[in-house]
Amino acid sequence: MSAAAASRYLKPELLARLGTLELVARTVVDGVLIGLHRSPDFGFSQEFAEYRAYNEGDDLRFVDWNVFARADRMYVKRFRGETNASVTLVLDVSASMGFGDPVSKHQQARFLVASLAYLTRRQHDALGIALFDDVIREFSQPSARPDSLGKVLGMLENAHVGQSTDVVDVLTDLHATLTKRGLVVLVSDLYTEPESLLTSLQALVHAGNDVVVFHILDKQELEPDIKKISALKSLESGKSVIVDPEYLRGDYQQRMQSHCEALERNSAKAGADYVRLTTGEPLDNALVSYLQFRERRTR
Amino acid sequence: MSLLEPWYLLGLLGLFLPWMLHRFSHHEPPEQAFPTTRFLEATTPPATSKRKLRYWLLLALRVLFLALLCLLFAQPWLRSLSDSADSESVRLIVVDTSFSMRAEERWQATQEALGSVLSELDEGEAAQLFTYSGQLTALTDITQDAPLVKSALTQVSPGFESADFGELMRRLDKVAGDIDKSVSATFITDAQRTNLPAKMNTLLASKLSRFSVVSVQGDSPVNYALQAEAITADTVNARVSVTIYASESAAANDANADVMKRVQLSMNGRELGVQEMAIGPGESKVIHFDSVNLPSDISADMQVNFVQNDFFPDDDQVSIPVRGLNTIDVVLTSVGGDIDEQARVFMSTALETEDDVRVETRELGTALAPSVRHAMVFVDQLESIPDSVNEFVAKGGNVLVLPRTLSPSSGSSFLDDPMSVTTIDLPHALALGDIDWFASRFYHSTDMSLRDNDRVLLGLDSSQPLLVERVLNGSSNQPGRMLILNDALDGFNSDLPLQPAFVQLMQHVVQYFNASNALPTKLRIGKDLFLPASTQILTPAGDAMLALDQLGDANYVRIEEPGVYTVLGTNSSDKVNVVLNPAESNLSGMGRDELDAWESRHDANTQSGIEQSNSDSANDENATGLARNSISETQKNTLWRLLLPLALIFLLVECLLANRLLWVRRDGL
Repeated sequence: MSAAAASRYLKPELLARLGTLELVARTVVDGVLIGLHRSPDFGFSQEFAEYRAYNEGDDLRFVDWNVFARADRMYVKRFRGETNASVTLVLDVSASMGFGDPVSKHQQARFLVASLAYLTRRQHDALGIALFDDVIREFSQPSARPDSLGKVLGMLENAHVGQSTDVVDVLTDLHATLTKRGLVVLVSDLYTEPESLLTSLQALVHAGNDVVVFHILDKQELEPDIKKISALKSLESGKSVIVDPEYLRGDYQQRMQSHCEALERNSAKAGADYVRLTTGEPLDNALVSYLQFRERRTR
Repeated sequence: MSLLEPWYLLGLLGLFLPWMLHRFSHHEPPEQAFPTTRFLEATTPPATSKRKLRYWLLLALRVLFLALLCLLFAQPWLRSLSDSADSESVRLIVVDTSFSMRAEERWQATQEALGSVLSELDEGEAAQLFTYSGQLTALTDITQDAPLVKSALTQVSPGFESADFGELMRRLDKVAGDIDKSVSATFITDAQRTNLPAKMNTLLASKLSRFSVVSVQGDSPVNYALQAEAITADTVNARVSVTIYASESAAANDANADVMKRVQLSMNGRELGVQEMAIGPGESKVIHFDSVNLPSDISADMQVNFVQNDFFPDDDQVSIPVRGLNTIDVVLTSVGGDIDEQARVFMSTALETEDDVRVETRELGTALAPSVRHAMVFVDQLESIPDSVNEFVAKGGNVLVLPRTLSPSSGSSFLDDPMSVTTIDLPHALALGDIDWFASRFYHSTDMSLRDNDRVLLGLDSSQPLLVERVLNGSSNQPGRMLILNDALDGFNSDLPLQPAFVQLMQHVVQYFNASNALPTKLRIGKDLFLPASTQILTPAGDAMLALDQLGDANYVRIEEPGVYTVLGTNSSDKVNVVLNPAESNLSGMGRDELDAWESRHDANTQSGIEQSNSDSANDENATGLARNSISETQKNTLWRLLLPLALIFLLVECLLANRLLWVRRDGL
């Protein structure tokens, strides 16, 4: 089955009917992997990297006895993924994420995060999660324990949109909270200043983290379909602004486009990957981007 | 302004609707959730003052539109200035003052009937009194003063004119149409059957809400009347023709009972002859006095009377002038070919019906000789009348020009719906209005180009001229007369030559040609007499009818009494015998059932009126339909023509304003 064909089954409208996030995640991930013609055991951690001299305390299972027989010295085989990646999924649950119809950004983000969590656990990586709006509401340190997936999915199941968002402060806090370098996956609508985001991302990257940013938007945010003058009420601040449809068709879209481009540019500048995702769009593209990103970073 | 349906004004309560909609409608724009207002920019709404101004403008337009709608349904109408009486409806009371009302005790019965009618007026109903005898004359204004109305009738009495009930209804309809109230009419009459119109559907005044007839006819026996004509060729002997009319009678014992009537001629008190003749009810017979020896002074009038008067003596004697017999020679000729035989026969027969007309057919060369005064000329094309004909007229000859063959209009074909005479020049001396054109039909539309000075005397549908008088070179004082008849008399393109109207037309034409001043020798009473300029007319008693300041101009004089009138010109003296309408002497009246049927035509609420109309022609059905809707039509044709366009204008402006063309939006911004 091709990726395109598989994507038929990955539309968020359909995923929303699957019930539990675990089922959603499994459906998405399996579909993507099958579409990529990769085996379920695909994993960069199985690939040989180098030999290292045996030190006391090393696991004898990884001693290359063939080399010991030839050279009479003990070497330990090291693999690329041997040091388990620590994946922290950072999900924006601010009020603005509740926007979108029929699938809200919040739903889409949950599906995405659940899928990433499932994928992470399949690769036996440590899995952690942070839910935030203006502050980190819930946080779970990355853990390679088998129940980490269930824990993450449980937190996702109970995640509800909260208040206003402050990505910069949250990332700063997260930076201080993370005890181990790893992969940080930020899923948000990113209503923040691109320059501030650059600063926050740079801090994470400089600390040795690999960062990927999933920018989730609704089509109505990008191209509002409003025919008459309307009062648009902010989901976060509650403030209403009377807007002319002509403005929404013109200047607003330009501003929005500029904002997205600035975010992408600054993400790249900070060394983070940037993936834009709209609600209603199948998740396979996002997952493929994620996998490619992982592959790139582990070589 | 009054309202016919005032309860529709309750709809004005609906004016609160737009006010409430404007007051409580959601003036704020619809609110929608949006992730953030970060990139939004508030639009700049119109300045508050302007918005309010337009808001109120819209509200005012909508309120006015609804108010106009309510007014339209309430059917407003303006009280006319003449309708000063504060009444809800008007009764037009019409009293028949035709000649027949002089008979027996009919006039006295009429006055009593008027009292009854006035006493039965509804509360709030005003009345207006009219007399009718060929003309509808108002005796009072619209008033609720019944004694005033009753006393007005004492000032008048029946005249000698005749009545036509169809004409009466037409005039009543016009009067009712000028009154912006519910109008009914009561007609006090002897209901002579002879006064009924030829077309029964004209017995309808659609603007009347109700019509009633109060009959004052008596159980009259047979009435006898006479009319006479005396002609002398040598001023010594005269031939007198006396026509005796016997009316039908309602009395059973009079039926088929012949009565010997003795007619006496006298002049200057000297009896000239007596004859008697048996005549039965409903008959008319002619007694000829072939050789009456006249006295030396024949300028006096001859008296013709019954030896024994009947119960209605007013029509038992007449005064007539002794008219000199002048043989009128008329020449028939043709240009460019022979006269069609049928046309010649039709023409000759019609002309020679009169005893004093002699017709001769000649070649063109001799036909228009100076000795000939009157000619009927058939030409190839009416557009190209030969110069010889024009010269004949210029030298004092009178000519009637006819086409030998008709030149049909381009593309015209035999008309399934034939044309009829619709235009009659009534004032013209030809007295064409005396001729009944109703039955004449014209099956081809023909071309005939008119010149500037052409006077159309008869016209067909689509303004096609039938009879034209042409003045050559624009001179009104040309010696001769030229008439052009746009019909070939072939009996195919029209049935005119087959109709009695053609005979009368030819006689009128000959008399017109022969008359020195175009005066008729005989005129039926009630008709207008055209008097040329500088002429005076004397009554039978010798009184001048025209004042000095009227003598300079041509005048129309309405003759209201019978007798021999003298028209004095500068160098002439002509006598015009004004005679009664013999139909008025037939006193038999309509039955009650006929009167009921007449009345029911105006009763829109009774089936009998509809049934009656069904028994008549299709025209009657249409007319009854008009009657059925007469009230509403009258009421609606008041102010709605003004209010409806106004309402539409308001609606249009409201749409323009509300559709942003003027920067005003339905959403209130």
